Amino acid sequence: MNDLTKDEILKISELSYLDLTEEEINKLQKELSDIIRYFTLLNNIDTKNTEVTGHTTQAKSVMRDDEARTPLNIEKVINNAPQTDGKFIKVPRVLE
Amino acid sequence: MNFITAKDLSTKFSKKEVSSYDVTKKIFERISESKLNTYITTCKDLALEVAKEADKKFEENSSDITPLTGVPIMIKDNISTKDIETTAASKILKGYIPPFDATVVKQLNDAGAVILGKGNMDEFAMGSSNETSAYGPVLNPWDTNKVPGGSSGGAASAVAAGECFIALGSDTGGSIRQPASLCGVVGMKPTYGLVSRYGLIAFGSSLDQIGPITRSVEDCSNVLNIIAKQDSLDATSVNSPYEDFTEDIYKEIKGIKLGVPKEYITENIDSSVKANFIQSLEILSDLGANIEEISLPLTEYALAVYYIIAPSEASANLSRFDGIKYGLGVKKAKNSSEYMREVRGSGFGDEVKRRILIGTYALSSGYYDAYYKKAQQVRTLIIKEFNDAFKNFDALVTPTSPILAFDLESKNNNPLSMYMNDICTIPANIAGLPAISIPSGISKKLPIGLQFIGPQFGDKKILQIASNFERATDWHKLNPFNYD
Repeated sequence: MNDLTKDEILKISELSYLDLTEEEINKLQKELSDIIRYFTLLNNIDTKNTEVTGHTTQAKSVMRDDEARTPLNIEKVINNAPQTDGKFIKVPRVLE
Repeated sequence: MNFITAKDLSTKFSKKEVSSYDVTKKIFERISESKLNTYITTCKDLALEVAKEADKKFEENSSDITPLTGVPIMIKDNISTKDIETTAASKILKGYIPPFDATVVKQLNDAGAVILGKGNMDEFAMGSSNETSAYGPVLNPWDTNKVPGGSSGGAASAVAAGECFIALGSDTGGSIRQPASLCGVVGMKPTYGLVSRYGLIAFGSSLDQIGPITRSVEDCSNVLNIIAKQDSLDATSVNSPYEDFTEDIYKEIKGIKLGVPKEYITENIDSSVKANFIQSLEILSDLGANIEEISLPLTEYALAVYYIIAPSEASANLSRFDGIKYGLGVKKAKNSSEYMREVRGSGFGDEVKRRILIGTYALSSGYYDAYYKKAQQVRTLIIKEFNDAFKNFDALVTPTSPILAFDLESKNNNPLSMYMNDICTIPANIAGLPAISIPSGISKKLPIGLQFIGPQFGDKKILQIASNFERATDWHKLNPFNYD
C-alpha cells in the first residue's frame, strides 16, 4: 500500500469533523499510512465463510418494560451546554 | 498504614483502632503533597462527610457494613460521577458535570465507600503511558522518571503510592492490567458484561470493561462482589454466575492446568521480565499446578484486529462530542459544521485524533469490508482459538507487559511501537475474557506483573490461582517506599 495522499487525509478529517493544521496533516500522513499498512497483516488469514463477531456476550435484542422513569435533572443537563438561552441549548446555524 | 489492604483497613475500623474520617483526612494531605499527578479532581468535603457516616455505622455495628464501608477509593475520570467534574482527561470535556452516577459509582456509594476523586488517565483511555492526558502525565511512584502505564495510570499509581486504597479503572486493551503491572499492584478486567458500563464514557464498546485496582486479590474479589451485577441500564451486562467471588481464593490449586501460550513471549520481551516469568512458573508448579506450553498462532493478529476495532468503535462513540451539549465550545463559527470541526479539532489531543481518523477510515465506504469486517471475522477465529485452548486448561498464564515501566517521553514519537507492547493484554479484550495482573517481582527497582487469563466467566478461577500465587510470594506487600 502506498502512503495515504494529502487529499485522502483531508477526506477522512472531513468525515470525522476534525479541523487539522497543515503540520498535523503532514505528520498524520506517515503515521496513519504505517498503521493502516500494518492492518494488511490480516490478509494472511483465510476468513471465507467466517462469521463476524460484534460483541462477545450471547445477548440478543434486550428488551425492557416501557415504564416511565425519573428523568435527569433538566437544569443540570442544560448547565453543561457551552451556550444556552433559558431552558434551551443554543446551537450554531444549521441551514444557510 | 497507608499501604495496608482495604480488608485490613476495614478490620481496623471494626476494632475502632482508626476512623475513616482520620484516614480520609490524612490521605488528602498525602495527595496535596504528592507530585505524581494521580488525581484530576478531588472532592474532599463530600468524602469527609461520607467518611463520618461510615464511622457512625461502625460505632453502631450497623448491619449494612460492607468490606468497602469507609474505604477511600479513587474513580477513573472516564466514569461518570454525579455533580463531580468528569473529563476523561480530555480538554473537550473540561467543566462537564454529569447529572447522574455511573452504575458502579452508585454501587460503591451504596456500599459506603468514600470516593476521594477522579483519577488521571490517558485521554479517553487511549494510551499505554498516561502521557496523552490533557491534565499532564502521571508519574510512577517507583521511579518518577518513568511512566505508570496506562490508560488507568492515575489509578494504579495512586494505589501503589498510598493515595487511595482501591481504584476503579477501565480496560479496553489492557488499561487496568498494564498500569497495575508497571506500578506493582493488582488489576483485573472481569469477563465482558459482568460489570455494568452504564456511565462509563465509551471508547470501544465491545471491548470496554470496568474493573478494580487493589493491593490484594482478596480486595479485588470483594470489589467484584459489589459491582458484578446485571444492570437494566446496560443491555450488554449479564447475570453474574457467582454470589461470592472470594469463595475459592483460599482453596489450593493442586492439579490445576495452566497453559503458557508461547506467542506471548515475544522477541522484544525484557530479559528481566522473561527471567521473572520463568521463576513465577516454578512457583506455580510448586503450588501443584500442571503447566504446559501451548501455541495460539493467532495472537500476533490480535493486535491488528484490536487497532481496527477499537478505533472504529471510538470514532462512532466520540462523535457525540460536538461542543453543543457539554464541554468545550468555540466563540465564532459560520455554521454548525464549522463549529463542530473547530471544537473537535481544538478539543481532542493527538492520539485521540489519530484513532478517530483511523476508525473513520476503516469504516468508510470502500474500506469497510477490507478492514472492519475482516477484523471482526478474525475476532471470531481468535475466540475459537481461545475456546479450544480452554478445553484443556483452567487458565493461561503470561507476563502482563513485555517491558518494565519506561522513561517518560521515550515512546511518544512512534505510535505503532507503543501499540506493540499491548500484545499480552489485548487478546483477552478481543475475546471478552477475564484477566488479572498481580505483582510477581522487581527488577531494577521496577515492578513486574504476571497475568492469568480465564475462560469466559472463569473470573473466580483466576482469582483463586492469583490469590494462591500472592500468598506464596508476598510481592504485593512491597511498596515504592519500603523497598530498597
